[in-house]
Amino acid sequence: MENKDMIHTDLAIIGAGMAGMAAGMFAANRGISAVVAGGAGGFEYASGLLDLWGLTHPGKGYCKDPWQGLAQISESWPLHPLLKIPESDIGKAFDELTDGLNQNGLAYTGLPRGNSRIITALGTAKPTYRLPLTMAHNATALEEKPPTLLLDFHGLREFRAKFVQQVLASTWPDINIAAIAFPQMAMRSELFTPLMAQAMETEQVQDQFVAAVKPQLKGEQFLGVPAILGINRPEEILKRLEELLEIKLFEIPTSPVSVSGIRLKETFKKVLAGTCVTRLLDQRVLRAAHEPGKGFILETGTQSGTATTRIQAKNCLLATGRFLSKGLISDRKGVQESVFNLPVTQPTDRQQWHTSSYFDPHGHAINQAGLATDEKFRPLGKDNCPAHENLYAAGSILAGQDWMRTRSGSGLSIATAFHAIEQIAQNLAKTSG
Amino acid sequence: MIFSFSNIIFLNDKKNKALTMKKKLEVQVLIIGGGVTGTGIARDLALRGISALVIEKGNINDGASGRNHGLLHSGARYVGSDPDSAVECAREAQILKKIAPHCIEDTGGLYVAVKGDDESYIADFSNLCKKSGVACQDISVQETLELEPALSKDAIAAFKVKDASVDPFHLSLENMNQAIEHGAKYYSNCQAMGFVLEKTISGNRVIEKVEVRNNLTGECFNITPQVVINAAGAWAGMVTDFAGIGLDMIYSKGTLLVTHDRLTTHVINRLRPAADGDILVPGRTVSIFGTTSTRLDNLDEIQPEFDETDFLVAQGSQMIPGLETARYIRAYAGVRPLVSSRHETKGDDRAVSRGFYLFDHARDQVDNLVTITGGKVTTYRLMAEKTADLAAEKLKVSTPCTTADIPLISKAPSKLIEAGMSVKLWARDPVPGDSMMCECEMVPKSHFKELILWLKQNRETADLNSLRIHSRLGKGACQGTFCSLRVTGFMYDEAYIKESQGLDNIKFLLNERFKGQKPVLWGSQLAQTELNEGIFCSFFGLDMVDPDGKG
Repeated sequence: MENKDMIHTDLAIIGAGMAGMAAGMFAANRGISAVVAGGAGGFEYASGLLDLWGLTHPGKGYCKDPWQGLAQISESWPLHPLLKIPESDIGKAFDELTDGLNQNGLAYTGLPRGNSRIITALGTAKPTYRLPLTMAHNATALEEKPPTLLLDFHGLREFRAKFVQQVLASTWPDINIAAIAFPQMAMRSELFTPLMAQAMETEQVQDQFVAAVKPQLKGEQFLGVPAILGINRPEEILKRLEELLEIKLFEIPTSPVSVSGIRLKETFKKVLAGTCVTRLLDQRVLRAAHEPGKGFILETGTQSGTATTRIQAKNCLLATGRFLSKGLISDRKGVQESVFNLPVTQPTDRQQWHTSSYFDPHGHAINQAGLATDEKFRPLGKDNCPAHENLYAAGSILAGQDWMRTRSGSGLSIATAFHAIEQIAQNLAKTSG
Repeated sequence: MIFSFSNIIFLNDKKNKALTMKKKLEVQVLIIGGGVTGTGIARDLALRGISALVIEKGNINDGASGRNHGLLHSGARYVGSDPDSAVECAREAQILKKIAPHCIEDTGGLYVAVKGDDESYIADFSNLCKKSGVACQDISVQETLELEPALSKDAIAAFKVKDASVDPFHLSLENMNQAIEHGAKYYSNCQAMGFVLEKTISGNRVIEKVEVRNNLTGECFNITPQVVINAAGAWAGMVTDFAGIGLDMIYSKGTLLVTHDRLTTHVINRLRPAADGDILVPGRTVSIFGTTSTRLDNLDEIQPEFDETDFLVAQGSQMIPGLETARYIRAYAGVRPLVSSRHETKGDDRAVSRGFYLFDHARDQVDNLVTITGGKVTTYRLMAEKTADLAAEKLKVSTPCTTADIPLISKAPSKLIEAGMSVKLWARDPVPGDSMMCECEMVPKSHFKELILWLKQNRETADLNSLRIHSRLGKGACQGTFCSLRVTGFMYDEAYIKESQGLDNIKFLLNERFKGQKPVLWGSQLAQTELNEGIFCSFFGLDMVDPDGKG
């Protein structure tokens, strides 16, 4: 134990999903020395769309203006974490985050105050606040419904153009479909969008793609493809293809493993490179404790459980997510928090976790379980006081929200991470001043 | 007894009223109920050259036939309580192993007692087996633990028996498909709504027509049979009510759990008088654990309850500690169709005979109605034989039963229902350019294509749910997360579905899968559901009333 490297830092961020990485970026921007530890597998399940708020009230449909939706949030979600953050801070958090991503080659766009709607791989319309630039024309096309070609690839199972075409047929009749073999992968019976995206980064593949697509165009104004336009600098690839094909091109987001999620993961790596924030690659926190006088002592290691690094931190931000990322763990008796064993706000028994219908617009109670916090996002201990003076929590592990049904996943992560980092920055300024 | 079909939804009332054209169908034998007994009778009759039609209000094995352990009993379970059943089971299990080896995995079974179990039952067990002619071999605890390391170290006694694992869906599909190949017919989603009875010269009555409704379309039509066989299982009393005949049924609900992994190689039985949570049956890649026994007053709500789930896990982990930490992918409940001859009723439903009941309702002055109910999967063939004998006698047909000798194999792709079968076939005979649609259960596109073509030819529907019924779709760890989407895409490509039908298909499938998972959603399976909800609600928006981009 003593021989292991000990990293001394102002802030340990546990979790490398959206909340953890956003917190890392915000810490870097404020010159806070920090370590981010946790698997980043979560981004592969992410859509790459930055939702802020998408619902009016349960069962009442999507909202056009997320800010208007947020203004009514207390009526249906009285304990929602976003209620603790001023609207202006939420806006600042989004701007700071998308600026950082833009500067590192992943451009996001969107309406100044509204949600954009884009078509998904199921032909459904998804509202989101900030979308990758490569999907900007997706929103325009869905709005205007011009003659559009949707492109299929032989062997791609996650996206079938006919699925989208048929679902949209009654409202958008001018959709044509065509299928091509993906360049250099014609012999493969199964295609994976991340591999296609990677291949798309070379001009040779782009040119072959253009040559295959050109004969399929019959005067359509827009061309839609699944999200495969490169992992790095996709907007440059988009631009080049648009020029060569002389058409407006857009991406359609697909189900996991999704290229637009992987782009976020790769871009966040670039964001933190060379800053005061260290990212421990694919390390999980194995043990964590708060020791009086020392602060937080964390031991991180590989998935298999071999400890490799020890971290001593003045502050700690818990951004471990929910069940899928194991921030919360459950057995048939209840839900526990996995790192500090903090009290979890949850329904009294398992019978109340889910309602009887899966797609019930009110969602399931289990998805509102999580950590209760004070105004500064410090999780509460058993006595309803902050569990530790300098322990914070951000993202989907927080109680009182249902990010999946309210379409607020990224917004929740980004805004709560922002707020927590602001508090931590103030603390550190006080102690050093 | 509640005589009402209020739990059946009129799917399309308007259409129902508008439909004035009525089909008229004539058939020698109408069988009500598409469980293992009903389909078994259809096979039996078809092989005798008697025309038979099966109507099923839902789908094949929707009732108890599809909601049991899938245990092919050696008979050992009944040696104490019901020796006649034990003898029957032992004999029928041998026959099924011979005629349908592809539906059966001959796992062998173990009876295991743990500390605290009834010593006198342990002492008597091998003698009782001997009396019923059930093969039973005493083995040491050490050897037992070597055979099955998952067993508790608290095991104190064990016996080896000839239990096996059977796939009741595969059995019923093969029954029905072989019957169809010999001229029988099958209507799914078609429910008997009433009888039209006529007086005979002798003063008795006969069923002239059976009024039937298609529950999907709302269409109503009549069937004119010479004999009606009521094989409606737990619902048998509702059918006899159409003829004004009371049949006193006991509804005994049993809940079972499905684990994500297979925990043992043998069927494991608790060596004690039959009780809750004492049988674990391996089913190819999974294990099925149960059961409970709860009296129900009606058949409206046959759902596994949370406390039953918890109770089962607690009981089972005494014998197999891994059941406490196992990942469960589903829970389901079935209703044992038990008949109470009023004086036979006792406290525990297990004490009511598991032997079957065959009623010739000529005794109730209805000449052409026969009811078969009770029994178990293991003895279904015998039940079908006895019932078909009676129907043949009424029809004055003397062709004997051949179901014990003719192999139970059809040309239909019913093998795709077996876990692990698709990948075996695929490895043996790969189709160039094929791709995996379902990675949990390893089902390639070509198998779905084969199945869809077959469904199109032989059934009215070819939707996602039909594919689930006939294959492993949605039955693996992801419970439909990835396969539903891919297979639906494939169905669009092949023009089997159009417009937004695919979204409805996916919603229906996922909701149906969810119902079965709900009582076991904790640990890894809860995380799996979170991923599913993230994809299908947050991302694809299927929780919205109108998610399809209109407006």
